[in-house]
Amino acid sequence: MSAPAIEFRDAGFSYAALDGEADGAPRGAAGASDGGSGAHARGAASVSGVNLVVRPGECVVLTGPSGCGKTTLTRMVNGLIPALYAGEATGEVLVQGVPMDAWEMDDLSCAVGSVFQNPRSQFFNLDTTSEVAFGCENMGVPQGEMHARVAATVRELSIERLMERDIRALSGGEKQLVAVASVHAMEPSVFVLDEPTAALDVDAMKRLRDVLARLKAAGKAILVAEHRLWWLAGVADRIVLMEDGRITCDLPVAEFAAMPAAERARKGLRAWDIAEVEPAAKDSEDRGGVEARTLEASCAEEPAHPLLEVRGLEARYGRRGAAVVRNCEFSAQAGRAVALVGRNGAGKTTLARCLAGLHAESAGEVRLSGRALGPRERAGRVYLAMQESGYQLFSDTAAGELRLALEARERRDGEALPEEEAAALVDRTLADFALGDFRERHPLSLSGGQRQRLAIAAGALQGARVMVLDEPTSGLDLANMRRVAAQIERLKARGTCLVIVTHDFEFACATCDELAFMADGRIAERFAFSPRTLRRAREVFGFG
Amino acid sequence: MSADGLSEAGGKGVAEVSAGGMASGAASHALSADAPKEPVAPDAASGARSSCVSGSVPVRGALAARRLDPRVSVAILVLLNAIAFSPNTMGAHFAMVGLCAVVCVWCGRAASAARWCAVYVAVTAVGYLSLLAPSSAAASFAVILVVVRCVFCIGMFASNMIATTRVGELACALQRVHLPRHAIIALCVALRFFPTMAAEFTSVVEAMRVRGVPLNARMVVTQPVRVMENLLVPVMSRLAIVADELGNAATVRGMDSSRPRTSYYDLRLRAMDWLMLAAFGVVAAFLLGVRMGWWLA
Repeated sequence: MSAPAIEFRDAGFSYAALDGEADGAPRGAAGASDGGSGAHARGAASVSGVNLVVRPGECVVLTGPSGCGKTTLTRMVNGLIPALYAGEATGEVLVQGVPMDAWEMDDLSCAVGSVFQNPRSQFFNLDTTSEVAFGCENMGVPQGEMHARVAATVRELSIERLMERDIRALSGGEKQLVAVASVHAMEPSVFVLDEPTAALDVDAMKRLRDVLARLKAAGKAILVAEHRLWWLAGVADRIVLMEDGRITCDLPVAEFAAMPAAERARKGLRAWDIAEVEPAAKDSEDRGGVEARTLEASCAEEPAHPLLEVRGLEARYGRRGAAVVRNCEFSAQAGRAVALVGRNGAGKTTLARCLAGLHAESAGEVRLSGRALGPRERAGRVYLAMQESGYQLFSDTAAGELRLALEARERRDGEALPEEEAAALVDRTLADFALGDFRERHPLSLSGGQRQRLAIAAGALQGARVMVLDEPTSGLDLANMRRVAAQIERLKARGTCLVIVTHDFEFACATCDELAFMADGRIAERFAFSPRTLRRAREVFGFG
Repeated sequence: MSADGLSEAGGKGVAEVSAGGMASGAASHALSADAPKEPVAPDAASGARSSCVSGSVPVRGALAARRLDPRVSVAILVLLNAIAFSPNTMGAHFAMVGLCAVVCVWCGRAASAARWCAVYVAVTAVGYLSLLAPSSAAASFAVILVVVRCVFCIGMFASNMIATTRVGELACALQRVHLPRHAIIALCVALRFFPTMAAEFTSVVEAMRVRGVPLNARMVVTQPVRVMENLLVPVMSRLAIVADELGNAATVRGMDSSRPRTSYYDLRLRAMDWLMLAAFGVVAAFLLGVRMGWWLA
């Protein structure tokens, strides 16, 4: 057996209290229990007593619930601990047999390549070619060799198509490939990836898997910290489970795959095999119940009308730009959730932005309760829950946030609620969305998951009958994904019509009633999500 | 910056360049820059070219077809600044706008050149029209227009430079003049950060519309603090996170390395660089000459 590329010997690390970052500690604590959106990992958890070996040509996956310490382990390998994060270290970490404190940061950066979660914030150039060469430039690699390395990287990762481009125009998946390439050009022998697929769609995840397989074949040691597991089947050699900063088991992949799905779920893990994921059991009676409640809630309308109707919608960027959405026909009922799926560039985001009134259509119309509304009128009536809910919160307390939502509704409808009623409504909504304990907290001090709930609650209180959710579960572990799903069930019960843009098959199974598959800017296919349509649903998500 | 510059910073736009123009241009540049020395690099370049040409779909975000050497761009920018407020003769001014337009078109940005020229014509025309009805209001308005005209070329040239110059090449040029490493990196990150910041603000404005938080002229006047708070707090908290993440990425990519920095690019002045430098130089010399003449008289 070859010498280990990475070795943890009874290693541990606890973060020092973060100075200059007043909200760091509470956010970390909240993140551990309530989970963040995973958009960032400032409040990472401490680890202790870790023993782990990764050999050249081996791919080891670290997984476990949010806040279990995965990210901390990756930082102990790539040198961010101790370079950027102060704290107390115990035990020993060795890279290529050399203990961490004997490495110069420069040499370590060349030996260990790191890819992070957010593809948007690991770039320093505006074009791809400069970006791939950037690390080599910093390391003082001579020009001739640098050209050779960049060319070899482009060849080995098959990314010819991505070179000579503006990075901002790439999709998330393409950006992540460029990030891998820029690290690859530094010729590291170890790759460390921290939740690299949080922002990727199914195709991009498969492409990343292929790239990892190539790296593995080239004898690189790979350590991946990840929630979503299915994409690693076929490339992972071992799955390491973590909980509360400790490794609880370290299984060869065959053994992990043999574990019953229920047991994995009990451990808080996402699916390993998409074939074992099925739509939540919703019998027809239950559905009838939901619809009945819905009709009660919206007795003012004609029941024949769908709440949301889109007719011949067309949207383009710029007057002469190509239509990104065209001939789009779509409708959605109150009290139901429709998953909007499709490949990158199919027009999902543009359609979502159109619905929410953020992008003006160039033709067609959007009707709410049978009434055609212009983009300006739709803004606020169709609520868009953004991926970064931090943008959407403007008050200095959670309760204030909901007050703001009530004010917005009053401005729009022109009728004000009596003060007492308003206060009661705010309290009730906070309790409804499990935010009662955070009444007076600053929204930005909440965890990602709590912020997301608050943003959705504000939308509900604002009187939005249609809610569009943009990738509400990107980067979430099982527990938090289920929390979002429960939230959506509650919204359905209130008679809200939900359109959910998602790549997350497990999540769609848990909560969506229908699937709308978008291709070439229009809804190409639409069907109820049930065990009967499961096969097609998988295909539509990009599996099989 | 004008609307043109802003739309570029928005980052959502598809590059104006058509697929064919980009493919041949980018590849030809890569070839001309790398071929003489390095046999491997053109490999990648030709790979990029063939894949771009084979697909008939325009490539989103294709880089500008041709561009001036960053050193020449900076030199011309300095020249333009130096002569911005020297007494302008109509002809010299037209000549400079014309030269800027030539550079834009040569870089494959004809649409942008046309927009800038249209704005210039409008500004000039309105300026002269306001002279027809002399009043104090018209006069102060005309003064504003005159100032806009003076700095017009700077804006036009700079927007083209930002859109076409590669950060890597600019860094290379600055390394040649021995600027300290940290200054170079700070500049690179700043260039990358502006579009990010613009995108963040756009997101917050959109979030305000979704939340029904009013943002209009009346609000700005009556409740400026509230508006600032609504805009800035979310952006700041986002930027703090981005800065953290960028910091992590910077550390592992050797930004703090003590080794002397090298460059992927090989800067060489080409015919167009010399031509443009000379052309702008002649116009500048003429204007300076006019100024000297004034003084002498």
